[in-house]
Amino acid sequence: MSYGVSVAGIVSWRVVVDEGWAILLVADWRSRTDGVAESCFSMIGVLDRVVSVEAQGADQPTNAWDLEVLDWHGRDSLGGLGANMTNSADPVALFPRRSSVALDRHVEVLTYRPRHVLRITNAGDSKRGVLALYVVSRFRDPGR
Amino acid sequence: MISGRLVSWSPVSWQSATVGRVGASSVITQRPSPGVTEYVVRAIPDLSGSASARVRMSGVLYGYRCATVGGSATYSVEVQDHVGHDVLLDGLSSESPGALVAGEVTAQIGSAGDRPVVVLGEHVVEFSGDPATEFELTLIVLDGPGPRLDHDGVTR
Repeated sequence: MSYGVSVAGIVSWRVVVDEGWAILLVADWRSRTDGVAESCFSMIGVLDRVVSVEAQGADQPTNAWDLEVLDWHGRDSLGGLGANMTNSADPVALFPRRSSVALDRHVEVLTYRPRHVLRITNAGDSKRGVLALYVVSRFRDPGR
Repeated sequence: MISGRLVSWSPVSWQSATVGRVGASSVITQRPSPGVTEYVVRAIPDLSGSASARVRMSGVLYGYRCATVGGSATYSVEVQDHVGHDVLLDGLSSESPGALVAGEVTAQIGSAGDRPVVVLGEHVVEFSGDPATEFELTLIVLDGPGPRLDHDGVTR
């Protein structure tokens, strides 16, 4: 795993896959001295899944660090699932509840393209990690 | 309307001869019905008991089945996404060889119930087990829904 950010307080975004109906965004983050890393970004659709991988060794975040994805109303699209994240070496997947999906994709998303804020707190001084965000433009539940 | 019930669960026909040698793997893609893609990964582990393959997928991972031949110990299979997360959600771990193992891949979303997980891009399939075990893993992926929509990606 590459943790590509060397400057504290920076979140670097990459579009890894863009299939049109869905997109995979990857954010490399490094916290500031106060344990915070924040970044604004835009996404259209529903946040289907967030996978977090924390650096190990000297760059390992403190245990019970916090992750939020705030929409333009200031609501956490993760619905609180990102509270008290583990700092273990194993990837952790968060599946936001449908009641707290990022946006009203039928109206607001395509019209206003509202800004989101990725917020990491309580991570410790200059710690690193990687987040993968799976964003689905239109999700049709496969009949379950 | 895509329906998960369209998925065919017909038995796997074992074709390990297409792999042919120790440490090798192969991947084929087939469309058993409209809207469904099966990625069939076959592998023969090396002497350490491990094998891997790369699979590029796009859609909603609905289920899997794994057939094995040979082997005397337990085996496990992971399908790792871009950041190393197992999209099978530990669905294939500590399995006994020789039996057909099949299951659905679902993620908890609260009161609305479970639903399958989205898969995008290249995945690494990691097999581990007894070196004598041969694997055939089938990943069942439903097409992504809807037409392409514009989006503005990422802004800093």
